[in-house]
Amino acid sequence: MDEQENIGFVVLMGTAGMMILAIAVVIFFIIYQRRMFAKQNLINEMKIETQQKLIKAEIDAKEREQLRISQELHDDIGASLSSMRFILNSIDLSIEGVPELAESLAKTTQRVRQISNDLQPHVLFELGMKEAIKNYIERLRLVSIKFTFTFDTEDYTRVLLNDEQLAVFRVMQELINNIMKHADAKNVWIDLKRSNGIMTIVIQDDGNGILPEQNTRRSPDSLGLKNIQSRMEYVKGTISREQNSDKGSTVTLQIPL
Amino acid sequence: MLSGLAPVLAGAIFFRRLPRMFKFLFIYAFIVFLNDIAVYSMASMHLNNMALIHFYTFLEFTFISFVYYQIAMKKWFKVIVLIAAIFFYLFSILNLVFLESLDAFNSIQSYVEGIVILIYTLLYFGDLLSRDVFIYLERSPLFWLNCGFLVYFAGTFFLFIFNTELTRSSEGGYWILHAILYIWLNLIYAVSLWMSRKT
Repeated sequence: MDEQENIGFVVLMGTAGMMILAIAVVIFFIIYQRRMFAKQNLINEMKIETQQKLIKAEIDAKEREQLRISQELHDDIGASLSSMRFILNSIDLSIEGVPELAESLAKTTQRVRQISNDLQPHVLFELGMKEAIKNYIERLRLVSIKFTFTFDTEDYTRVLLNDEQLAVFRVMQELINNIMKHADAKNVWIDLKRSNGIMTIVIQDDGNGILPEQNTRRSPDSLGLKNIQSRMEYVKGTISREQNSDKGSTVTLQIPL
Repeated sequence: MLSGLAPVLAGAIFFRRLPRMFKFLFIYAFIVFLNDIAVYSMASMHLNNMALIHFYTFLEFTFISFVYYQIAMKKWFKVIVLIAAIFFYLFSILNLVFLESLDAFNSIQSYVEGIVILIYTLLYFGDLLSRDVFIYLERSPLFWLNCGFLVYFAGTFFLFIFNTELTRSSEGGYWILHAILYIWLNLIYAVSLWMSRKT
């Protein structure tokens, strides 16, 4: 009887102990899993934050360099060219070669101004994205690409910070440059809209439909694509590209505001 | 025995919306329910129903091994399940031939099965931790199934070890513990089936 009571006792205690252990394992596991994933999330967030900082630093460095070059072009070369024009204006235009020289100098001055402005688009900071794009397109029209530019102007106000605006503007410049160089397009449509807290920019062309990543030539454009991706990551935006069913391609940028 | 009806009903009601593996759970629960009826009927008629208990243990182990083989994400886990299954079947045959015949309670087979299943449950926790994706465990039917197996086999471990002694002493009272744990397991089956239905 004692032996049986002992066995009974062992069975009861053993069963209770095992069940308590099992329940403890389950509770411990749930808590441990939550903590582990919370830590992992924190690490991932820190990695993303660091990456963002690196991208911003890289972009800032490039922009500072471009600003420096823009200023030197304007202050140094621009000033020299202006002096040359002033001197040329005082020379008799009937002398052979002088009118051609004057015209060439005017074009060079204009070009230097354009390059300086491309490097640092003052219109963007002073008047905003819409005016900067209009200004850029007007200058591009001089190289005989016909643009159709439409955008939503209702309640359009400056909604991005200066450096974010600049990043988005640079992306657009890069994309339009790509179209001009590789797409063999005659028309480019740029659409700028803002709704539901997202700015959407659609750039469509009627070219050969080759997407940038399909251009396998080793050229600075691959660097251009990386710049585009870096800048879109910086503004936490997305970029999607697709070939149109009829002709050309469409690139869509979406930037959260 | 009636607790076996819970997973059968849950599985029957949601059968069309169940994922493949849970359809197998429903079929398993149904077979086990029929087996329970047979065991109870034979016991009522004072017939030896131990063969059905052997069949039940074999079926239970096969089904649970199948579940873990399916849900294991890591290759090593799948390999362990396969090796454990081969070991258990070989052991069961040897046990049947040399130790516990078909007309005796298979206590040794039962607690070996318990040890193997407990290992499976702990390995599954390890497998969950190694995954990259966060899973809300309370919402996972597989997690509940795993907990059900863990508590059931942990709770019945000592019962099966001392089964012969308990039966000899006619201390049927301890088997109430098994009944409670069996009800728990069937409820877990029913809850898993209900949670797994596609919405």
